[in-house]
Amino acid sequence: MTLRDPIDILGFACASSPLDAGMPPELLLPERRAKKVGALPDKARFVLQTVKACLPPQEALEAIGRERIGVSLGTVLGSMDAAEQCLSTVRSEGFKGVTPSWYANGLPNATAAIVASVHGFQGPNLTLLGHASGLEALVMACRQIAAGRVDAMLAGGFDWPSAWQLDRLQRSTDMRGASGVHAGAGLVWLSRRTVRDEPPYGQVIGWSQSWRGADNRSLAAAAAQGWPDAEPVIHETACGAAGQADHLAAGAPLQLVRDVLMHGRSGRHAVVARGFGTAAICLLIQRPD
Amino acid sequence: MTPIAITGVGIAGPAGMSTGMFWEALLHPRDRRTPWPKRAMSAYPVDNVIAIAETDWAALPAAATRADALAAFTIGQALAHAGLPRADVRTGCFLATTTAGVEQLENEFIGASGEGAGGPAAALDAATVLQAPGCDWQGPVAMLSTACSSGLMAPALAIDALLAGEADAMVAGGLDVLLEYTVCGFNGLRVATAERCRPFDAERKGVVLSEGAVSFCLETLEAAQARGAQVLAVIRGRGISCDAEHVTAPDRAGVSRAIVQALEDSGVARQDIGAVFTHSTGTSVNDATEIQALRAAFGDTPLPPVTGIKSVMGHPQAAAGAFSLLAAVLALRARRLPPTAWLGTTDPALGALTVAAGEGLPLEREHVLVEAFGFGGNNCVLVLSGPPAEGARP
Repeated sequence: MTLRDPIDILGFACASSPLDAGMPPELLLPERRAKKVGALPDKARFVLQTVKACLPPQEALEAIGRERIGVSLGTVLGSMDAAEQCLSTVRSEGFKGVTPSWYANGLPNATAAIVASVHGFQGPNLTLLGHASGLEALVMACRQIAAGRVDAMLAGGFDWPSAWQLDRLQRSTDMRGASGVHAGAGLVWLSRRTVRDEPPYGQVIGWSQSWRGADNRSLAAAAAQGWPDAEPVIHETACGAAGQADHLAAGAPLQLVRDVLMHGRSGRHAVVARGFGTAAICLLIQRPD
Repeated sequence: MTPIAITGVGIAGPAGMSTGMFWEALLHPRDRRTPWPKRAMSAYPVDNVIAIAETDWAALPAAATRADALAAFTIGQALAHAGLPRADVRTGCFLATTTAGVEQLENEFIGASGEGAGGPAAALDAATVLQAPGCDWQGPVAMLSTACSSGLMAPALAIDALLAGEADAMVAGGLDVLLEYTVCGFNGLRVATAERCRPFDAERKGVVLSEGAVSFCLETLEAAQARGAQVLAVIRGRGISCDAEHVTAPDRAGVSRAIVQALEDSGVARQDIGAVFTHSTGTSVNDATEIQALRAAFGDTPLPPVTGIKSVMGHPQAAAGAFSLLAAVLALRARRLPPTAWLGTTDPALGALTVAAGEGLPLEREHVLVEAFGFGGNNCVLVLSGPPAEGARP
C-alpha cells in the first residue's frame, strides 16, 4: 500500500521500564481519577502520561474537531490483568471481593477508551491484539486517515505485564532468548497533510503486511511500491529476539520513535514487526532533510 | 460508499454450526439457558448462560483452545462458501475478540490446562488464532478488540482495506468463548440475570452471556460480480464513533453519531430503512439509550420496527455484532424480521415502538440497519441491503 498523500507524524512520545524495581512514578499520570472515568487504572495512567508528551496544543485539537480525532492502540496482554484479578480474588475472598469496575476497566480496549474519554476524542477508537499490534495499530490509524474518516489519530502500542505475566513470559520457550520483558509505550500523533501547519518529524508513505513475513515479502512488496530509487534503513522487532529487551506490543512503536523519529537520518526507513508465527508488517517512513 | 458484497458466511454458535440452524432458531425461539456446562460457577450469584453444546465443541476441528477452533471452523466455512481461496484473489482477515488469549491464561491460572508455565508465549497472543490451518493470507491481517462492538467493527474496518486495494477479499467477523472471567465480570457489573434476556420488555432484568463466532467473506460488489461469486447481501454504509464519555454507560449522542454516519455513508433515505437489528442487551439503560439515539438520528421519520436477537442467542460479546449482521443477511433473503423472543409488554418508557415479536414481521423494505455497541463507548452501525436483482450492476 503506497499512499498518494503521505500522512504526517506531528508528535511522538515513548516510555519504558524494566520493572525490576516496579514502575517509576514519573512514568505515571499523577492524577488518580478523571472526571468522566472515575478511578484510573495504573495501566491507563502509564499510557496517559505518555500521551501528554505526544499531543499537539489544545488549540490545534480544537481546530481539528474532536469528532475528527481517533485513537488506535495495540496490546498483547489485553484483558489478562482483569482476568487474573477476578480469578484470584474469587478464589481468595469469594465473589464479594470483586469490584464492579474491574471488568470494564480491564477489557483490552479500556485503555484506548479512557484516553478518548479524558481527551474527548470521538473518532474511531480501536484496539488491536498481538505482539505486532503496536505497528498494526499505526497502520489501522493510517487507513482511517487515508479513508477520510478522521483528520488525526493518536496511535501506537503499550503493554505492562503483571508479576504473574512477567514470570510466565520470561519462562516461555519462544521468549527465553530476550534479555527481559519490559513495560513500554510508544505513541505517535498522525495527521492529514491538509491540517498541518508545522513541519512533520516524519511521514508515513506506505505499508505492507504479509502472512509470510519470514521470506521478507512484506518488505519486498513495500520497496517495490514505494522506493524505486533508494534502499531504506530497516528497523526490525521480533518477539523474543535474542539479547534484546522485549517490549511486547510497544516494541515496534518504541523503535519507530527512538530509532527513526528521534535519531534516524533523513531519508527512508522501514519499521518491520514480526509477530508470533510468520506474520510481518512493515511501515514505511520518510524522514525530512 | 462503494457497495461491498457479502459472499460467504461461517457460523458456530449455541444454535448449531450452520446458517440454516441459526435462522431456524431465530424464527422459533426456545429457551437455551443452562449453567455453564464446562465448569460449575457456584461462587457467583448468577450462573446462567447460552453455551455451545459440548457435543458441538467436540465436532469442531482439534485446536489448542476453543477460540482457535471457532476461528478455524468459521474462517474455513466462510472461504468455502465464497468459493475461496483462489490464487488470483488476495485475501486478508480481520477478526475480533475479547477472550482469545485470555482463555489460555485462564486455563493455566486455574490449573485447567495440561500446559504449565513455560509453554510458548504465543499461546497467550490472541492474534495467533488467525493462523487457522490452510490459511495463507495474502492481504492484511489483524485481531481487533473493541468490546461488544467488535464483531461489526471488524467488517467495517475490513472495508477500508478492500477499498484501499490492499486485498481483493477480506474475511471478517467476531468470536468469543465463555470464560469464568467474563461470568465474573458481568456478575460484578450486576447486569447478569438468572432469567431470560428480554430486550425492550418492561420486566427485563439484564444480560445472558453466550459464545460463538461468525466470519464473513467481503468483496467489492463489482469484484464479486466480475468473478461470478454469489452475493448474499450488500453493505451500503458504515458509521463508527466513540462516545468519549463513561467507560460503561452508553451515550445517546455518541450512538446517534454512528447511526447518522452510516445512513449518510449509504445514501439510503431514512424512510427506506425497513428494520433495525439492535444491540439491545436487555438492560434498561442500554435499550433506552439505543432507542433514544435512533430517534435522534431518524428525526421526523418514524422509526422502523426493531428486533433484538440476544433474546434468543444471548450475548456472545465480541461476536454479537457479527451474529446480528448474519441475522440481517438472512432476514433480507427471507423478507422476514425475526422476533424478539419472550417479549411481554414493551417498556412504556421507550415510547411508541414497534418491536418484532411473536412470529416476527414481514420485512417490506430493501435496507436494514445493524448496530453493535460496546464498553469504552465504541459504536458501529452498518446499512445492509439484499443482493441486487440478477443482472443488476453496482
